[in-house]
Amino acid sequence: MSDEKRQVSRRQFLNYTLTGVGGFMAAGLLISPVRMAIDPVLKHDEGGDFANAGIAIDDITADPQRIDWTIDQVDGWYESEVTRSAWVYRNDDDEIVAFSPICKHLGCVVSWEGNDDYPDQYYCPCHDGRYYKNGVNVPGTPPLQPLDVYEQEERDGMLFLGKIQPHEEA
Amino acid sequence: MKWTSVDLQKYDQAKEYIDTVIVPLAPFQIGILEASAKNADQYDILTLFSRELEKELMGRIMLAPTYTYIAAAEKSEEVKRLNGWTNHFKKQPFKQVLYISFDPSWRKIASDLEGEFIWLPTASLKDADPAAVKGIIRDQTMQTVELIKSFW
Ligand code: FES
Repeated sequence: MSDEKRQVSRRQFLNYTLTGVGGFMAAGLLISPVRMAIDPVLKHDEGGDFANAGIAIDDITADPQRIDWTIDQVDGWYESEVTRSAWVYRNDDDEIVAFSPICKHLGCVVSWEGNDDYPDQYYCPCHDGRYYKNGVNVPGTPPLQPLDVYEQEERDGMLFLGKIQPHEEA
Repeated sequence: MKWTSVDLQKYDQAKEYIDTVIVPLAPFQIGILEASAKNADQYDILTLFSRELEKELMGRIMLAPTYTYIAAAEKSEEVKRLNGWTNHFKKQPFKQVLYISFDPSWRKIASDLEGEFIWLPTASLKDADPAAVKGIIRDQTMQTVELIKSFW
């Protein structure tokens, strides 16, 4: 047990070190426009783990829309910019739902109506995984769980998204 | 999946689903400034772009380390080595081996490659602003995703 633990933390340390060094070198090497592209373009407010997803609450409709935003990720002492994405829509109960686009099978990115044969579903191009509009996986396709959802909050009319959590009603 | 110990573990559990290898091909040289700098910039863009591609399709592709070669090298020699890589991958077994590159000189010789070659037209990012660069890379990623899907 304790052996196992020690191993994990040693591996983690190695990981941090490698990420730190690798990330640093990559950052130095990138040409300026590319570097600027992965630097913060839009500064968002600090405030817990929530980040401004860049969409006004009023602009969210019953049709799922894909949104992308960036967050600062701190991993040990190494800080980087990460792009996050979500599909947001307003459900039948007029609640806003933001799904993570990461397929629960092996992690490809799903798209709303990504396949003409399956309108009104999320589609994963990798192994034809599908999900209903409410995020629940279509039985008989490879994913075994519904799409994860983001924690969310409204601030000044804007949608703020936080941690990714497993879908509840499954 | 990327060529990291974490992802290799995942690959090992799901080999039947991850049937495609992507190998970025990048020329390099350290010599005449202008040409060398251009290769270096493209190397960065190719790296960025392959990572994006991997993110979109990680459940079905394995991103191999970038294959680098001296820009002026004889391509027929490189083809032999690349075919060696392809044979190595196919033993896994991977069904598809896809090469991606900005280097147009592969196009003439692509039919000698045992994998499929995808040529990416060079995106000129030098004068674009950061938001535009993001957009360009995203567009090119999505176009390439479509192309890769056509091989499946
Ligand atoms: S990764 Fe989505 S179906 Fe396999």
